Amino acid sequence: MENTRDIKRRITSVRNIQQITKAMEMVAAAKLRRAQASVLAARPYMTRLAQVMSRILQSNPETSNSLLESREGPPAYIVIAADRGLCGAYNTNVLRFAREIILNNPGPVTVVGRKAKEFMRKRSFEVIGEYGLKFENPTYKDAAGIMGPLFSNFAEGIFGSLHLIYTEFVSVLTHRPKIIQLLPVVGLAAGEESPGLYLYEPSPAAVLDAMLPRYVTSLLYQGLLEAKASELGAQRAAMKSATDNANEMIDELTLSYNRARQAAITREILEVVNGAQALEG
Amino acid sequence: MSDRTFDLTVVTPERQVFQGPVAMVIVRTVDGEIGVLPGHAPLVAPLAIGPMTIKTPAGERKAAVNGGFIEVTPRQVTILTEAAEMAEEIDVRRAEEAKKRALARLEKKRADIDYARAQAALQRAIVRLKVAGREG
Repeated sequence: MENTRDIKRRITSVRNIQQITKAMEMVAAAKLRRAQASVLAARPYMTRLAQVMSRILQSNPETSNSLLESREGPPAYIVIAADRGLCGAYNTNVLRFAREIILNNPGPVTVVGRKAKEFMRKRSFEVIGEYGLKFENPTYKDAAGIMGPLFSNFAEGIFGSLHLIYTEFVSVLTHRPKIIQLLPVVGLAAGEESPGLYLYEPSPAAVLDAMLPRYVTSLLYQGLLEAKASELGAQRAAMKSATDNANEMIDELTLSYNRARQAAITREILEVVNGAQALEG
Repeated sequence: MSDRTFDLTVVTPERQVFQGPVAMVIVRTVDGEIGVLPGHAPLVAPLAIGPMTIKTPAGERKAAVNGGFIEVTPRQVTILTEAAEMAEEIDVRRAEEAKKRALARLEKKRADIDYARAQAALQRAIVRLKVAGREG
């Protein structure tokens, strides 16, 4: 039977760990709320851009743009993961998903997040760009910074298409690895508004020209935000289960502490009784 | 002023800056300033870095807009921009610092600095100061 003092020490240390995981859980939950709000706040800008561009393409079918044309060349990827662990299977899930896709259809990779960088480097994938995810919520500027070199690479024909691999934020508890195509831009043709007579200054093609890169950047921005929200959701869940596990462990340890204490008391009484009997003897 | 209004929305990738009924909006497009009144013809035009004036039934409000687009439809007007701040949100100290930085960068006139970018930064800072009521 274990020593009561040892058990007590273990209970204290588990309780300390529990306090930390509990705090991390609450921090993640608070950040998650903010991240979710950002995901929602980013949607109107993107949908409006898409609407305007769909209308231009519908009313001016002859308009073309190099960002819309499919072309020859290998695919390229942007992979988003977290900067650190402590978030359950979040990194593993998205990186495994990415590996499958890239192995089937190899191409250069731009990585976002330290975990993604380490993963891709270790498996000697061709990494053409590396970015850290900041601790705070990603900004549109971050997305623009990542897209900058990729737009020029695409224009130079270094790759034929660009895909984003990230974790979709379905709900607080559900996050799913997902791949979407960024370049060439797809899925704009389906416009629900009637074309109508619009004036485009200076010309429809020029407006399209200016809007397409912004649209792609805002798609990436949306991806960054969803990935961050998923990361925080996963982190919160991981920390919650760690806290629960610590609770369970404390219960078990308390039980064995009480048993050990009871055993010690029983032993002492036995000794006293035996001693008394011996004296009476 | 007539009491006819239309719905104006100003959105950036990060948030919705303004939303509400307005009687008139004046923005600077790349070809010059335009004023939009209710019943304006449908239009899409790119914006320059410049001030924006919104005339609401409650009074006039100003904002700084960093490029983007204006989209006028029969029902509403949307301004899509990468960054916009209402006058009262502008951090004057930061804008002043940004202006100084941009000026210092332009002074150096070195070949390796991005001249266009420094100039755009200067322009942004000046517009923000103006909108906030401090002459740039």
